[in-house]
Amino acid sequence: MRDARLRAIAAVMPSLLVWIGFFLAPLVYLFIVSFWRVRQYRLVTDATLDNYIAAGSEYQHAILFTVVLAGFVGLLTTVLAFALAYLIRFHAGRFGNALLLTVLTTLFGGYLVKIYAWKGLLGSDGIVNRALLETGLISQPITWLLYSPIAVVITLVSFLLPYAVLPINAALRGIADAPIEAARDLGARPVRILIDVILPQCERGVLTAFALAFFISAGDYVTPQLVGGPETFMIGNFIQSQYVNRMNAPIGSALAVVTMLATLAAVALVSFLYRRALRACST
Amino acid sequence: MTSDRAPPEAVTRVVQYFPLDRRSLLKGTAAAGLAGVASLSGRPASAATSLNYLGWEGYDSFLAAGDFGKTDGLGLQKTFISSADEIVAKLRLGSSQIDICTPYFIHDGFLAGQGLLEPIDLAKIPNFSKINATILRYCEPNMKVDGHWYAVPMTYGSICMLYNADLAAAPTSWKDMLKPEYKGKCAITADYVGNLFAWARVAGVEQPNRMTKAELAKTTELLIDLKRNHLRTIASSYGDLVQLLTSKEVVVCQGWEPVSTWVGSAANIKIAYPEEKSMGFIEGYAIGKGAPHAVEAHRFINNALSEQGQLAGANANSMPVVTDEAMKAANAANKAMYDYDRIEDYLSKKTMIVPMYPLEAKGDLAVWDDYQEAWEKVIKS
Repeated sequence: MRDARLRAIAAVMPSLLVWIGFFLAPLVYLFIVSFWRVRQYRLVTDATLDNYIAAGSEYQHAILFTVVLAGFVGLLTTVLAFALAYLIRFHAGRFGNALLLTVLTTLFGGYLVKIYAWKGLLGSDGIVNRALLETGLISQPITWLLYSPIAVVITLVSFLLPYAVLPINAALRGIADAPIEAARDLGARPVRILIDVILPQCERGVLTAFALAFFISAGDYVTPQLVGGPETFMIGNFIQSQYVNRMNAPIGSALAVVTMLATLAAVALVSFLYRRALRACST
Repeated sequence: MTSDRAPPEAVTRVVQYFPLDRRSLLKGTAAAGLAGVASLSGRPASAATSLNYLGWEGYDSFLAAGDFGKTDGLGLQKTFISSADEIVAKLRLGSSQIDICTPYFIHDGFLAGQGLLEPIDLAKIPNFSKINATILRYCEPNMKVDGHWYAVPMTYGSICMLYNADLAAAPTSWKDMLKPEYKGKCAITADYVGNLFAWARVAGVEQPNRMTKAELAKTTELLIDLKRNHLRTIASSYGDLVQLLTSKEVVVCQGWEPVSTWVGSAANIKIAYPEEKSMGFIEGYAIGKGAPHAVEAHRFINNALSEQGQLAGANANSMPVVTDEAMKAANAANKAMYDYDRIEDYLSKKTMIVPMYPLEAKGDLAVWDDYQEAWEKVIKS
């Protein structure tokens, strides 16, 4: 009996060590450091709440802006990913896998390559502006396409779309054809089938896609730095600045903890609203 | 007949090449280990000596010129930075892990004082004597502490203005970026030190690195106005700035002399030195305290000061050189850009070499952290 228990513990030990080493320990350390402070540019162990007060007062706009922008990116990415996954699952037939492969292939390009590609597309002299100018739709280049929050949204959505397609695609593939056909035979319109049959069954996939897109956007600091312009700085930029430029790990950690809590709350809220909306719309 | 280059037809073919049972894997691992040990023992001891370099990309080009160190098995493991403050942070985390670094020149004294840099042994750097006397005079207050040099100068420059001569008139003041015709067509880089210097001078501050808190607040307001109402963007790197100038998104900007040549023929970029002056700097190599390859690091730094080393940096990145012999041997374009005959004018009239900010509160003077906080305030605004 005791041997069996020891064997069971030994079996889970590698996973447990990975979980502790890569996830729990860094989080605990981050949390502890967030109560320390920096004195004469050196880390001093302490138990102060000053860093959280600074995070709540001096950085609240940056945190709010980040949550709103990342939320918008998450929603847009999830809607587009759902449309794509829906096409792959229900309308593309034997070309579905090829379509999915095409979507996933864009992951190989790398993150920075995509950012620079969008810079080339959205700039004043970029392909989008040139096309609009040549077709006569505009007479002057649209300058807000690049170095603006819109550029950050476009770049992040383009980068995150393949990641969001995967969980939704997996969820849609788990839905059997029979209930859909039954609903159709009973005269349900496509929108009703979507609301009553498909969306409730792929709830986990949709919410996972949203959470992925939302969390990655909220933690990003490279995209706003490269395409965001002078007005688009997200909380990641300030966390990076605290760690690298100001050598103030305690405030950086406090900002990271507050951002984590804010983003977790936002995801919980979206999950709640999604379920409520589905319930309200279902027949 | 099958070609040796033909790819495996299927996974099973691969499995046939490398049977994945435990015994085979153990055998393979043991064989690989033995082969590794055998190969290591057959090499000279110095064959794998790799020095850790931490600094700006491009500043490394002086060090290994002429394949220096290759015959002795010396190489550089390079880590490039995106902010000068990164070096301070990394030296703090473990100065003994950094053989050669390029701290921001005003940080040298502070880093030496904190015991994060090795004193330079000038006896091991014979080329040090070739450094131009004016350059040495200007960098000495920052690089020499208590009679010891803690950094060795290898290039210099300034955070000057750049403009597209086909689309903008030559700027004469930092304030020219506020002109209505350049609204949305000008940029600065994320170099907060250079930005605070420039706009402090615009605010009438004589010594930007010795500002009172009130002067710093006034400078911050000027930068906030610039950012909110005039800038196209804040370039995150000089590579980013090159792209902005090349694409003509930006016609006037704050920058650095070599950027004008990096843009090449894509745009007619010229250098301008505003009447308020540009922040000048003299960059140097330093050695992390307790670095395991300090002897080899001295050799690399000596090579960087050789004529070959200096010209390699100048030719690769259009940076200026600091030794008299390299100044004579530099190509015409480099000489035209840096006018080595008037270095004194460059360092005193066009630019201003500044000391480190105060580190501890003293009267109403702003300390380093205040400067960093001011920049963050600009970004947050």
